[in-house]
Amino acid sequence: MKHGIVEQQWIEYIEGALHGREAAYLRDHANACPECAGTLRELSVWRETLAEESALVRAACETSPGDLDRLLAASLERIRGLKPLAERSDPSWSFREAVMLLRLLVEPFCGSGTAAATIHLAVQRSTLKGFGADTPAAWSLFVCNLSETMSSVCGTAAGRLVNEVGACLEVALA
Amino acid sequence: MFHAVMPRMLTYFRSHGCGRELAEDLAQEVMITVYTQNSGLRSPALFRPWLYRIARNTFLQWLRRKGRQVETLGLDAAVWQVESRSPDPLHKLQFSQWMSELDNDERQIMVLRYVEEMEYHDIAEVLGLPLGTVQWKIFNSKKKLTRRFGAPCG
Repeated sequence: MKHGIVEQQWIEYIEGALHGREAAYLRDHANACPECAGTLRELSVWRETLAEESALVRAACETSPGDLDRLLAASLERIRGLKPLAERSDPSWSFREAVMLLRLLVEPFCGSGTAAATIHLAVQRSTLKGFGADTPAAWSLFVCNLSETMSSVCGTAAGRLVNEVGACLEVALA
Repeated sequence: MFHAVMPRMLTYFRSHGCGRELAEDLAQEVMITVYTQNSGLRSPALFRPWLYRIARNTFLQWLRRKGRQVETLGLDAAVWQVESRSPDPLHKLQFSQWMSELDNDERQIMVLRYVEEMEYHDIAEVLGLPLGTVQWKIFNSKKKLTRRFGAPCG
């Protein structure tokens, strides 16, 4: 910054991006300060000169339609040679994997010991009702039990989080 | 889209001192990335900064690969020294000589602003810099050019 004017303001001024009082302040200061007038002149001249030279650069870089067609053919050839992304045969999580994910989710809230105990209890409760471990009903019950326990141990938000994540997980169920 | 975008990519890489063949190679890499990763584009309005971000990253990756072969020269200097020996008329233009005096960030900003005629906020988006920093670097670059070459005749 010099004379209370930051460099960005000079750039904005010569680009015509400053208006009203701010533009008037810079203009008046440049009229009164030879050093800043020199800076302004320098920036303006470089702006014009760079614009002219850049036009020459663009002209020198022009590509003929024939060259573009050649490059398009080459690009398409390279794209055809790309290996297809491996497709997942089954995007869903197994019951055990899904439980592990939820454990990773709740551990930061209550610690690994409490998380392990809570999840173990929730799994038991879901299977104790007579459902298999991998049915939608068992999964829903497991998530519900875990959510309730997390609510009482760590607060409503933790319980709600478990509920939301449990509902979103794509679990391979019978 | 290819015919609209490819010429800009060629100009971008050649403005950075790349020879014709290298610019074509890098531009093709950009087009392939655009084709395969267009799901990464959040909105069509952001296409231009996204495209030039890919171009910049492609160029930086090439510089890093080349850097493993260059022991004593700085990466940027290596590009300009190798390419300036070519008969390419682009390298005889004053613009190329001016850009060789700037560091990588400054050169990128100047090329995007003057050759690609990009707005400051788009340049900031491409380079991941605050708007004020982009403007300050433009200011600083012009000061640097004046110190090296004197003020141009206006």
